[in-house]
Order: sequence, then C-alpha cells, then structure tokens
Amino acid sequence: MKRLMIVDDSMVIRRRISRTHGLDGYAVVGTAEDGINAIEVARETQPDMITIDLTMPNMDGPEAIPVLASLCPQARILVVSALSDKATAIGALASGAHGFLCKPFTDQELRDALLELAQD
Amino acid sequence: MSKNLEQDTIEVFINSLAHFYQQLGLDEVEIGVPYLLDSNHPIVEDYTGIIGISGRRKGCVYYTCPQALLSYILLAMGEKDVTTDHLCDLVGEIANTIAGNARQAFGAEFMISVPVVIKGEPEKVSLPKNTRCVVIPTKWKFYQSIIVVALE
Amino acid sequence: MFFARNFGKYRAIVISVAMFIILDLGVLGLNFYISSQIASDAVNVNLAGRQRMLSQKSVKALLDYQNDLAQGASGADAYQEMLSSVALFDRTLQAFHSGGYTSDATGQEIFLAAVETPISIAVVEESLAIWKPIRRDFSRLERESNSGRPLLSHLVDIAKQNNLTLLKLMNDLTNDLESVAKQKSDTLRWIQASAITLAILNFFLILFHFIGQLRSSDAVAEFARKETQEILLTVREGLLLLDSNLIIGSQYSESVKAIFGDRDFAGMSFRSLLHNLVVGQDMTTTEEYIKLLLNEQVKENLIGSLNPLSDVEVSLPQANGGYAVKHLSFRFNRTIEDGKISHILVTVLDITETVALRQSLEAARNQQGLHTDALKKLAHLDSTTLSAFLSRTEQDLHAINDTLKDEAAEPQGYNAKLQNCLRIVHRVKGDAGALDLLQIATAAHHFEDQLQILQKTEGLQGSDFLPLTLSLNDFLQLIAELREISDLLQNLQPVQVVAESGAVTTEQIPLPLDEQPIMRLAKRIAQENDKAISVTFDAEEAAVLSAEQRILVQASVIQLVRNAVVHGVESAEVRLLAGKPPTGTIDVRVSLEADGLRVSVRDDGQGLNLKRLREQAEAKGLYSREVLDGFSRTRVMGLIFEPGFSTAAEANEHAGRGIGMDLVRTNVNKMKGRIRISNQPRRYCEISFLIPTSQLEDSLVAEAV
Repeated sequence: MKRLMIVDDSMVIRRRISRTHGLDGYAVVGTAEDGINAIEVARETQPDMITIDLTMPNMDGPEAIPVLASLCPQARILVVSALSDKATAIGALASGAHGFLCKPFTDQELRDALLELAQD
Repeated sequence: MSKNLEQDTIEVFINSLAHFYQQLGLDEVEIGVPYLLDSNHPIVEDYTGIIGISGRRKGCVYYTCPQALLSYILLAMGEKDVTTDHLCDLVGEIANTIAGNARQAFGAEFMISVPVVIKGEPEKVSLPKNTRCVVIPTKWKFYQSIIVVALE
Repeated sequence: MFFARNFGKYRAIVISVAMFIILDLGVLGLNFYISSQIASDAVNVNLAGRQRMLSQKSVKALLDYQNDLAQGASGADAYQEMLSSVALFDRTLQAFHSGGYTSDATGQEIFLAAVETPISIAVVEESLAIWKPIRRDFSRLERESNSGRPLLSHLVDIAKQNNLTLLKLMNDLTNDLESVAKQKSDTLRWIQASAITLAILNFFLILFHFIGQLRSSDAVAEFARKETQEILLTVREGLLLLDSNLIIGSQYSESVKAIFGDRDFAGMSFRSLLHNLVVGQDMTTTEEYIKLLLNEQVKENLIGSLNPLSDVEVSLPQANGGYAVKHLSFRFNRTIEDGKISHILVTVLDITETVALRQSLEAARNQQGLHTDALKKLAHLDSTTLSAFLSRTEQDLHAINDTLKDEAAEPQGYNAKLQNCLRIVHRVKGDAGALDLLQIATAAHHFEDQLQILQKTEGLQGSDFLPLTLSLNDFLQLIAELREISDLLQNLQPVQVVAESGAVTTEQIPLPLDEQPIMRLAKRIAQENDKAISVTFDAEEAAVLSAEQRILVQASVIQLVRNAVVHGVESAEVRLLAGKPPTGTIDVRVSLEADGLRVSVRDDGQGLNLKRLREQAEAKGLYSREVLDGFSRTRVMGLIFEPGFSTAAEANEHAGRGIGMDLVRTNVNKMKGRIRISNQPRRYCEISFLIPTSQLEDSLVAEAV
C-alpha cells in the first residue's frame, strides 16, 4: 500500500485527488493546504508519493519541494498545477519533483501519472 | 479595426471551461451563442471567480454561476459538503484553471493574478471601462453560467 | 560483467587462441622432454662406442704386457693401461646393466641409466656372462702380479677367444642404442611437424573465420551507417543528439544545416547552436528542461507539456546575408542505452508555414482600418444624414447582439437567429451602399458572409458563433470610430447647417426618401455590372409617410432598384439585339392611390423568366417539381421574395444572396402592405407595393401625437 500525501490550497482539489477512482493501491496519509503545513505533515507521515500544487499561500510549491525531497528521500513527487509558467514548473522539477500533471485532469490522467511515477 | 477581442484568446477560455466540465464527466455542457456586453454593466450570478490579466494584454476574465450549479459540480466531484467555503473555493479554482490554461497558450507575457472570489455583489466586479466584453453563456442541464472576457 | 557480456561475441576467437597456446606449450614440453632423452641417448651411444674401443684396448694392453714380459721388460706401462681399461669397461658395463655412475671421456662422473630395449638388455646380459669370468681372471692377475705367468697366458687365450664376440656385442649395443636415439628424434621431428601443421591450420582457421566474420560485421555496420546516413540526409526534421553536457554529436540530419545554416555542428554546444535565436531566460529554461530529461528520477512522459521550445519564433541568417523569421518546434527525447539515459535526441521542425497559415487566417479576420477615401466620402455627406445613419446602424447592430443573446433552442432557434441577423445586416448594407459608405457596406457584406457560412454549418453550435460575435464587436467599433469622425466633421460644418439640423428634434432622425443615394447606388451597381442605366425619380408623395415608414420604404426601394439593375436591365449588346435603346431605364415612383400609397420600381429589362424561376426554386430544393408545376404564374413570381432564393449565379455585394427581396417583403409586411408584380418577359418588370391608407392615417395620427 503506497502512502499518498496531497498538497493543494484548494480543498476541492484535495478531495478530488483523494477520491480518484482506481487508486486501490494508495492510502491518503495526509493532506496540506500550503508548503509549511506540507512539511509538517510529511515529517509525521513519511509518504511514498506526494502530489503538490505550485501556487499556494504562505509557502509555495517551488519552495516546499526541495524540503520535502530531502525530508522524504523515498517519496516520488508529482506537481499538479494549471500550467502558468513553464520555467517555474521546470525549476520545481529540477529541485526534486519527478513529474508534472496539468490541471484540469481526469481520473484516468491522474491514475496514469501516479502509475508512471511509481515505476522504477 | 479592433484587435481587443481575439478569437483565439476567447476560444482558449471556452475550451478550458469545456475541458474542465469534461474532466469531471459533465460532458453535456453546452456553449451558447456568445454576445457582447457593455463593461459598465457587468452581469454576475451568485458566485464569481475573477482573474486579473496583465502584461501584453490587460483586463480580466471571470466565471460566474448560480449557487445551484456550483453545488451540482461539487456533488459531481463526489463532494457532499456543500458549504459556502467550498463553493467559493470551487469557483476560484474554475477561474484559475481557465486563466492558467490561457497562459499556457499565450506565454509568459500573459500574466494572471490569483483568483478573487466574490459572492453576489456585482459592484465589486470592476471591468476595464468603456470596452465591450464578450459573454460566453454555458449551460449544463438547465443551469446557466457565463464566462466574461474583458480585455483592453 | 564485461567479459560475460562480450564472451559470446568473441567466444570462437578466444577458444582458437587458447588452443594455439596449449598446442605450442605441449610441443615445447615434449620438445624439452625428448631433447633431454636424446641428449642422454647420445651419451649412451658414446659410452657404448667407448666400450668397443675399451675391449680392444684391454686386449691390446694385455698382449703388450705379455710381450714386454717375454722380452724381459717390466711391462709396467702396458700393465697399468690394461688395468684402467678393464676397470672402465667393467664399470660402464655394470652401469649399462643396472644403472650407475661411470666416468666420461673427460673423467667426469656421470650417471648412466640401465638399458631398456630388449636387444640391449640381451646384449648386456650376454656380455656380462662372457665378461664376468674374464674380469675375475684380471682381478686374480692383479692380486698375484709377477707370479702368474700361466694365468697371464690363460687370460690371453680367453681374451683372444672372446675378443671378437665381445667386440661384436658392444657393437650391437652401440647400434641398438643408436637406433633408439634415432627413433626418439624421429618421433620428436614427427611431433614437431604435426604440431606446426596444427598450429598453421589453426592460424588459417582463425584467419579465414575471423576475417570472414569481421568482413560481414563490417558490411553490416557499413550498411547500418549508410542507412543512418540516408535517413539523416533525407528526413525533413532536423535530428541531432546531445550528450549530457549538451554538446551536439557527430551525426545529425542534413535538415539541421538547412535550418541553422551550413556549418559543422559536431562538438558544438546546444547553447551556441541557439545563440541569438533563443535568448536570456528562455535559453536557461530550455537547458533546465533538457537537464530534467537527463535526470533519471524525472519521468519523461510526465514533463512533455513543459517543453519551452515547442514553438519559437527565430530570425535565421540566410545564404544571401539577410535574415528570415521562422517558427521552429523542438522536441526532446531520451535515448536509452543499457538502461541509462545516454543522449537527448533533438527533433527540430520548421513550422513556419503552419504558423503563417494560422496568422494569415487571423489577419484575414481583422478588417481593414479606415481609408482616406472613406474619410473623403464622409466629408461629402450631410452631417445630419450621416449621424442619423450611424445611430440607426448602431441600433441595428445592438439588435443583432440582442438576437444573439436571446435564448434559443438549437438548431431551429439558431437558424431563426441567423435569418433575423441576415435581414438586419442586409438593410445596413443597403443603406450604406446608398450613402456610398463602402467601408460599412463591406463590413456588412463580410458579416453576411459569416452568417451564411453558419447557415450552411451542419450541427451548428453556440461556440460557432464566436467569430460572428467578434465581427459584430469590430463592426460596432467601426461605427464608433466613424461617429467620432462624424462629430469632428459636424464641428467643421457651416453654422447655418447646424441650425438647420438643429430644427430636427426627434432623437432618431429619419432619412427622407432621398433620390440622391438611390441614384448613386444604381449608377455604381450598373457600372460594376457593366450596364448603362438612367433612373427617373418621382417620390414627392412620400411626404405622407411616417419617419419609420420612410426608412422601410427607402430600404425597400434600394433593394428593388438593386434587383432591377442586376436582374432586370440587360447589357447594352443584348438590348441592342432586342431592339431596345442601349441604356436601360428604371422608374421609381411613389404615388397616392385610392386605397393607399403605391411605391413602384419599374425597369424596361428582360422581365422575369418564369421557367428559370421554377428551375431555380427546384435546384435550391425549395419545392419539388410537382409542387412548382401546380403554382400559378403569380405564385411563381412570388418566389423571388422567398428567403434563400436568388437567380444571380454568384453572390456579390449587390444581389444574388436572396436576401434583398426577402427584406422587401418583411418591410412591406411591417406596413401591412401588399406586393404586386407586373411583368412582361423581354419587355419590362414592375414591382410595387401598396401601403394601405389605414397605415398612413395611423402614422399621421401617431406623428401628430
């Protein structure tokens, strides 16, 4: 069972990801609405998989990702964001994320992305 | 003549919204016939998410819809908790997604703000003065919502 | 791991070389062994030969000793020689028999192995049997020196008796040992020869086998290289490989040169390739993106949407020294070798044409700006007329917007919308044409085009209207600009004109049924259609019309005149052949009749051709042949007022859209009027309508109030 953490400032998106059908092998172990919260939750829950938005209040994705990556070196990080600025997204990936999924997305797209991410 | 309203820009907004609905499995959404609107008299429904646009193009795009429709979308997403907070969150997310996708199409010179969500209160919607906006009516089941594109 | 992977490939050569070495070592070992054997055999042969000599030497010394004694000499020398020869012979023979030491020619002690061949063994046995008693006698002679004359002569006798036998035996031994040595060296030679043969065979095997293999693998490699080369020469895409330092590899497609100029790109950095093309932040973002692809932990499939160079506009230097603006699309893919990312394959596509096509379509949508001749025309117009026209057009356009806005069920609702918009815009076009405002007429014409495209669209949807809505916005913008100009012009008009226009107080200023615009329009259309016409105008009675009615009548007359010029009046040649004057006449007449006001437009052209009208209606699919056959003459003529009916072959601004006459009918209906057509083929056609008195009175009353 993979341990999934969801980081997004939108409650709707958090709930949507956690309810995605067909993610049988995943258990949502934590959610967070900004980077600061995400770091706390990650420290406690040690997730295997993290989905994270880029634009969030307090601490945004690009700031949080390197911290999360060093905190949970085993975790695969998927950036889930509306594509607004490629350079920011690339920077986020370079700082430790593993993949990018553009909002809006279907259940299928999310499933595929998480599966792809889980592969070695 | 006027290059204020470009078809491409608006099509991106329309497609983004249609895409948003589709992604939720609400694929019977109908796009109505677009029409012009005097920016001095904006139309708003119960909930409105506004994204400011700056850079090469200036103005804003907003998505406004009745509470009932938002509630339905939430339910369609499997969300049973239909509180005001959730509704505001959702309308903001829709506006953000629409504008975010436009930015993908038009590049970094097309800068977008974080969504401002308002409930009712049309006086709080300030559009660029003395321009005409394009209204794109959309209909899902019998609920109507609109995207308003106001670019200088 | 390396060996395990490569052993398969080189297995044969490794085995061959190993065999070669083993063979050589074996031959060398044998050589050593047999050589040492041969060396010891040679010693044996020598010693056997010496035995021969010693046997004779002993006998001779014995005889000399006997002679010396007989002659009274001491015989000491012979005696000593005899003893040493006998001792050496005995020692050597013993050694031949059972192995042991003896001394060689130089006096050195050497070990002698016992003989092994049956012949030698037999010879040595036999020799010993003969020798042992002789040896015993010699020993006795030695012990009892000087005293044993009889013994000496006995010994001489025995020696003489056995001398030849012993010599023969030693000779046999020598021969046998010699033949053994020869046999061994023969074996050695044979082994050497076969080993060399085997080695040579092995060498040739290696040579032929591997040369063949190398040749075929070279051929395969060459074929692959050629194939790659061919691909690289012919692909349209620019293909190149980047290593982890973003350096371009030695092989790239010919198209790379076509895109970036004829240079050698091998070893160049990707940054230099894009130098001046992609600058600053974009270049950095691109490098970051490629580094992401090189990063094993990032999933290639999950970052495609982040490619910053999916469409870039660049200025590329050309062979002629100039620059060309091109649009390039770059794609980046990993190439995997042994499960590791080895290179980035860059695919460059020139999408300039695609983009240009897209842009030209966009440009076509953006209508032209104001022209100076349009300004001149505006200046010539009466400012009141112009501003009245502009306000009304603006209202019309807003009416179109309201039509768009009205909720409608598709598809019937959409078609009704389109029909409604067509009617409105056609009137705008007519009015604009009449005022000679070409720019507005053109804008209206484009708008009509778009409406008609939508009419033909299958499965029409709301979003299909977007270009129309945007055109409407442009149209409104044009009117707003013209209004600004009109306002400026109004300020320039003489004071008395302002005073005159000031007399008109109604907000919506009606156009009088004005001769001039209609005449101008008729002339222009005639000119464009290569026809000669003259228009007579008698419209005094129009004064009884209300402002609204005057607009409707003016618009209808414009359509009827247009119809008369395009469809009625023939070209000068045709007219002359028909016995008519070359110039066609169009009479516009407004006259009061008993039951109302009649507005008529009459031309002396070819008249309506009923047969053609029927055919047209059938071809347009408006009615079936059977239904049309059942139509009366009047009903057939009435077809020209039906929406979508037109007999002109090709639509232009003036006629042929089948809208104009539809508009007339709508206008007449609004005034509760009736249309009448009198027609004589090849002579004339008169279309008129009667506005009933009731309508006139109503409007008069309305105006009074």
